[in-house]
Amino acid sequence: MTEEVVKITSRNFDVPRANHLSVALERGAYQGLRKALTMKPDDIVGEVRKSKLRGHGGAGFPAGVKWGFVPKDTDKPKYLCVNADESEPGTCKDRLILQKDPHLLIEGIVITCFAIGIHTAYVYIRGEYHYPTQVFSDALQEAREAGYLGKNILGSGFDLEVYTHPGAGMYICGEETGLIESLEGKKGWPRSKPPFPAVIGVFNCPTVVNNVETLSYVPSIIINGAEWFLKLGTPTSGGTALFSVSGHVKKPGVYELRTGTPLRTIIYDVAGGIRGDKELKAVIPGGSSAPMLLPEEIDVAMDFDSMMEIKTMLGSAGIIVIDEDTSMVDVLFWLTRFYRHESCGQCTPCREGTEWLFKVASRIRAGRGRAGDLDLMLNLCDRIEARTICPLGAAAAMPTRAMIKKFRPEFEEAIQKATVTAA
Amino acid sequence: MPTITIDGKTMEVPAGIKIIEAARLAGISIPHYCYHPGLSIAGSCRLCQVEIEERGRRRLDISCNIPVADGMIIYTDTDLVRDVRKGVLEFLLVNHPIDCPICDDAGECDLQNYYMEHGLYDSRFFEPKVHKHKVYDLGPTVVLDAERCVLCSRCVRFCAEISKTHELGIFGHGSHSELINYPGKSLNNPYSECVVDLCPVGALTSKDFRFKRRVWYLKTTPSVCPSCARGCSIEVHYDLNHVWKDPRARVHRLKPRYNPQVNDWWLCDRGRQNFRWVDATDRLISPRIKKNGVWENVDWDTAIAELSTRLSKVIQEKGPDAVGLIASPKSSTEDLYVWRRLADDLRITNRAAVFHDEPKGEEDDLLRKADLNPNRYAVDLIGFEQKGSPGTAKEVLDKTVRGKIQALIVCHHDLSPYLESAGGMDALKNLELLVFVGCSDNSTQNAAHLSLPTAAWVEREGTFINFRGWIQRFFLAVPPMGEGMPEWKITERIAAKMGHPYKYTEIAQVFQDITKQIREMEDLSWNDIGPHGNRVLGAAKSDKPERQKSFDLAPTGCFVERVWQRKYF
Amino acid sequence: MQFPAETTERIKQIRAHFPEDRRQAALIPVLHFAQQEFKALTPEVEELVAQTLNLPIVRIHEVVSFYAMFHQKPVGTYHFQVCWNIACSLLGAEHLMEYLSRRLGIRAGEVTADGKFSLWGMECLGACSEAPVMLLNDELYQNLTEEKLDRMLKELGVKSDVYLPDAKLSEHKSTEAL
Repeated sequence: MTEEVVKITSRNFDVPRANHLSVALERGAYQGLRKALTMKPDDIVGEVRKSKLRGHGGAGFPAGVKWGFVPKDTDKPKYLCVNADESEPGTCKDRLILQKDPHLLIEGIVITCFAIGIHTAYVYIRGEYHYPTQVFSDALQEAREAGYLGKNILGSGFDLEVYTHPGAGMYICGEETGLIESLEGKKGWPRSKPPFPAVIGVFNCPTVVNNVETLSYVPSIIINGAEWFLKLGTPTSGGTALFSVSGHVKKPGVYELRTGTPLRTIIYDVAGGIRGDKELKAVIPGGSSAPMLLPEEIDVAMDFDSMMEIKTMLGSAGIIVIDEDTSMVDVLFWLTRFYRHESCGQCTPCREGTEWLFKVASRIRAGRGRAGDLDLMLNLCDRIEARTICPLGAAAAMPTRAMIKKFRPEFEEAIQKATVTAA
Repeated sequence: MPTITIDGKTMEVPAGIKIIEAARLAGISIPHYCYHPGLSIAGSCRLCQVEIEERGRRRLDISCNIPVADGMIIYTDTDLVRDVRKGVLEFLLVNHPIDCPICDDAGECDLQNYYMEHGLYDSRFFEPKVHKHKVYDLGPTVVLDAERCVLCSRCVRFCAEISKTHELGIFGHGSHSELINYPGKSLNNPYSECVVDLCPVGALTSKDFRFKRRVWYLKTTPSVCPSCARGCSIEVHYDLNHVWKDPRARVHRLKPRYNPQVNDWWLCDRGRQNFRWVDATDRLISPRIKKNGVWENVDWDTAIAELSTRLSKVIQEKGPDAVGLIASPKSSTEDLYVWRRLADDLRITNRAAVFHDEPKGEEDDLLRKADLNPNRYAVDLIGFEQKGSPGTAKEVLDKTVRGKIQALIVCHHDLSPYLESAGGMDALKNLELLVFVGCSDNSTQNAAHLSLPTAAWVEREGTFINFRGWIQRFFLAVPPMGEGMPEWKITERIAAKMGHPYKYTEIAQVFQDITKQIREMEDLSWNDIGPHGNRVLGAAKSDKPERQKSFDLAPTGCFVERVWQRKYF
Repeated sequence: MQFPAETTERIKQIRAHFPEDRRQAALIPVLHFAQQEFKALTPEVEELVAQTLNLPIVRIHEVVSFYAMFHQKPVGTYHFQVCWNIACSLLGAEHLMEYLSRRLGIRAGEVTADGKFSLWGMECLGACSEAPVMLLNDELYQNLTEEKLDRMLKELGVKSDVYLPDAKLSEHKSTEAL
C-alpha cells in the first residue's frame, strides 16, 4: 500500500474560507456535477455501485445498492434525506464537512438526486450544530444564486430544492426511520422495517437516507471513476474514510485515510500514540456502538468487513482511545448512561433494558455491585439485541457485552470490593 | 390464496393478512399488546415476535406487521421465541408495580395471563423503580395508573384514529415515557371507556366499575345494547353469587362484543353505563292493582283477570275505538308482534309506538344514533301501526286527553312530558282504565290503575332490529327481578284471558310466527341468527366499510375462546 | 400571545418546504423559533403553536417533551451544556462539571435562583477530537480547562467564591429534571 495521502472529503479542511463559493470553485467545486449532468442517471448509480462506496453513518450499507431500491416506476415524489444528525459518540467529522466544505456536500447531493430522480432534499442537521447549520445554509444560498440548485440546474432541465431542517437533540433521530419521523414533525420513534424507506419513507414516499460524508464522496467518484475510488480502499469498501480520533492520544483530530488502514497505524502513527506515552488499554473503533478492542486486536484493517470478522464494526469510524489509567467501570457507566438517555422509549426491550443496564452499571460504579450483576447484564444484552424495532438496542447491547467479556476481572474486582451488600 | 406452514401445520390463508391473524385462524394465540385489528400497527411491544423462515433464511420478527407470503414457514413455539417472550415480560415487570391485590384488572390482565403462560421466572431486579402518576383522574370515566402502563399506545391510537379527540399521548422519552392526557385536557369523549377495554393491564380502569367486583366472579352473557338504534353487540357481566358493597347489584358492567356488521370493537359511554337501572330500587317487581288510591300487590292471575274484565267492559260499552295502545320501540320484536296480534284481534285501531318529539340523543358517524330506542325498525317492519291508526303515539294520547279513549295501555313510556300542555298526568284522571306495562317506576305508572312488571332486557331473551335492518338476539343474563315477566308473555296471557289463545309457551314460537307473517324475515330462523346478527330482507346495505377481519378479541385483547359462543350460537 | 411578524414570515417560509397537507413537518423548526422567542415552551406557547399549525395540542406536547433541546421551563441566561460522554469524560469532563458546579452553586439539571446560569450534562456534541467540549448557549467551546472556564466565568461576572464546595457529580440530577 502506497503512503500517498489522498484527500477527498478533507481536501479543503485547511483552506481558509473554503466554505465560500468563490474559493470552492477555485478548488474545483461542481466539476463533478457538470460531468454528472451529461451522464445517464442509471449510469451514475452504476458507477457508485461499482465504487463500493459504503455508508459512513454507522451501518456501512453500500450506497449504490441502496439507491437501486428506489422504485423506478412510481408517481409519488421521491426524497433524499441527508443525515447530518451526527451524534454517535466519538464521531466529529460530518461537522467539519458542513462548516469547512459545504459545497462538496451540496455537489454530492445534487448528483445523487439527479441520479435517482429526486427533486426535494432535506438536510437534517442536529439541533446542537448551530454554527455548522449557519455556514451550510449560507452555502446553500450561494449555490442557489449561482444556479447549482433550484430550477433548471446549469441548464440541464433538472430541478432540485435543498432545505435544511433542524433536529432537537436526540441521537435516535440519526437512525434513518427515526430521522424520517422527526422530519415529519413527530417524536423520533423509528418505524418497523419492512417497509423500507426506499419504498415508504418521508410522507410515505420513496426516500433515500444517506450520511453527509457518504454523499461527499460522490463528486470524486464521478470525476475520477469508480475504479479509482475502489482501489483506494479494499475490494469490498472503496475509497477513503474520515477517522475521528479522540481520547488519550497525543494528536486527536479528524484524519482522512484509505479504508483498510490498520487501526494500529492510526493510533500510533497518525495520532502520535498514547499521550504521556502510557500503555493502551482499549479502543472504541467505530463510535461507541462498536464493541471495543483490546491492544492485541488493533492490527485489524479499518474496513467494514474486516471489522465485522472480529465481531466489531467500522461504524462511523469514531476512534476513542483509552489508556491504562482508566477504570472500565467508569467507561461502562458513561456508555450505559448514553444509551439509556437516548432510548426513545417506544419498544419494550430497549426502553426498560437500557435503563436497567444503566442502573446496574451505576450501582457498580457507586461501589454497590452484587454477585451476579455481570451475568445479569450479559443476559440482558442478549435479550435486547435484535429484538427491538431499531438498532439502538443492539448499539447498547453489543459494546456493553464486549466490555464485560473483555474486562471481566476488573469488573469482578470492583464488585467484590463493594462496601455495602445490596439488599 | 397463499399457503403457509405454521408450527408444522400447512394451510391456505387469505392473502394479505398478518402472521398473527393467520395464527389465529390456525387456532394459535400469539401473545401481544400493541396489536389491535381495529387500530394502526405500532409494532412496539415486541411480544408477538416469532421465527419466520423464507427462502431458507430464518429470522425473528414481529407477527403483527408482516403479511403472509406463499411458502412462509412460521414457528411460534421455539426456544428462541420463548426466550423473547420471557425477556419482554421481564422488562415490562421491571418498572411495573405489583399492584395485583388492589388492581381492578386482576383476573383479566394480559400481564398476569402472559406471565403465567410464558414467564414464570423469579425476579432479578434490585434497582429503584421508575415512578409515575398513580390514581390519576384522567377524566369523568377513567382512572389512570401510569406506573402500570406497558406503553402499548393502544389508547393513544384510539383517541387519534377512532374517537379523533386526541386527549392522550405518550410524553418524554426512554424509561421515563409516560402515558397521560394533555395537561388540562381531560379524557372526555363519548367513547372514553373504550380505552379501558383496550388497555391490556390495569393502567386505565373504569371509574364506574372501580373496586366493585373481582372479575373472576363475573359471568358473561351476550346481548345487545338497548340504548339507541345502533344496537351494538355487548356482553353483560353479572354476579349472582356474591354480596359485596351493594346487595342489590347483579349486573356489574357492559362490555362491547366484536361485531363487524354493527359496532366493530367499540361501545359508547352512554350505552355502556346504562344498566344500573336494572338493579335499582325503582324496579317494578309485582303486578299490582290500585285500590282506593293505594297500590296492592296481587298475583298474575288476579291482575290479568282484573285487566281483562275492565278492558272487556270498555270495549263492550264503548267499542274498540275507545281503547288505546301505546307500545314502545324499546320492546323486543316478539313483544311488538304479540301486541299487534292482540290489537288486531281486539280491533284496536288507536295504536302507536313512537313519540316523534321524544328526547333524542347526540348522533355521530361512529356509533351513536339520535334515536334512543333499540327497536324502532321492528315497529315499522311488523306493521304495528296500521291503516286507520292515528299515526303517532302523540295522537293516541291527544285522543285520550279529549276523552275519545277510555282505556289506555302504555308500555314503558313516561307520558308526563307529552302532557305538559294538557296539565300533566291529571289530564288522564278521567280514564276508566290506565294500564302500565314496564320495568321501572315513573309518573305514568304511578297514575295507573294496573301495573304489570316486565322483565328487563337482560332478564329475558328476544331480538332487536337496528336502524338499518340488522337483527340480533339478546339473551337472559340474570333472572327477572320479583315477578317480572317478558312482555310477550304478559300479552299472551291477556289475550288468552280475553278469548284469543295464541298458545305461545316459548319465544321461539313467537319468532317462528313472525317469520311466517313478515315477508322480510321469512328466511330467518331463531337458532340461526348467528353471533353477529343478520340482515332482514330489503334492508339497506351496511354503512360500514367491508372488513376482512373476523377476530373476536376479548376486552383485554387476548384471543380467548368465549364460553358463550359455544353455548348460544 | 403572538409570534412577532418576522417569525410569522419565517414560519410561512418553512411551511413552504413541505407539501400543503404535511404541515406537521414544520413543527420542530417552529418550536425552535418559539423557544427562542418565549424562552420556554409553556402550555401557552404550545397552544399558540397548535393554532399556528392547526395541530392537536397533544401531538405538540409529545414533541416538546421528547426532544432534549426543548425546555418547558426557562434555562439560565447563560446555559452551560457540558458534554459528559465517553471521549470528553476520558479527558476530565466530570471534573470540569464539578468545577462549574462549585463555582455556580448549582448541580447539573438546575438553574440558579436568579435565573442567570444553568448547568446541563450533555451527551456527545460531535467535537470529540477537541474534548472536553461544551456549548454555552449556541456557541461551542472546545479543549476546555479549568483555567479557560475560570476566565469565562470572570467575564460573566461570577465571583471567585466557591459555592457548593463538596459538590460530587454522583449527586447531580439528570438533565431530565426539567
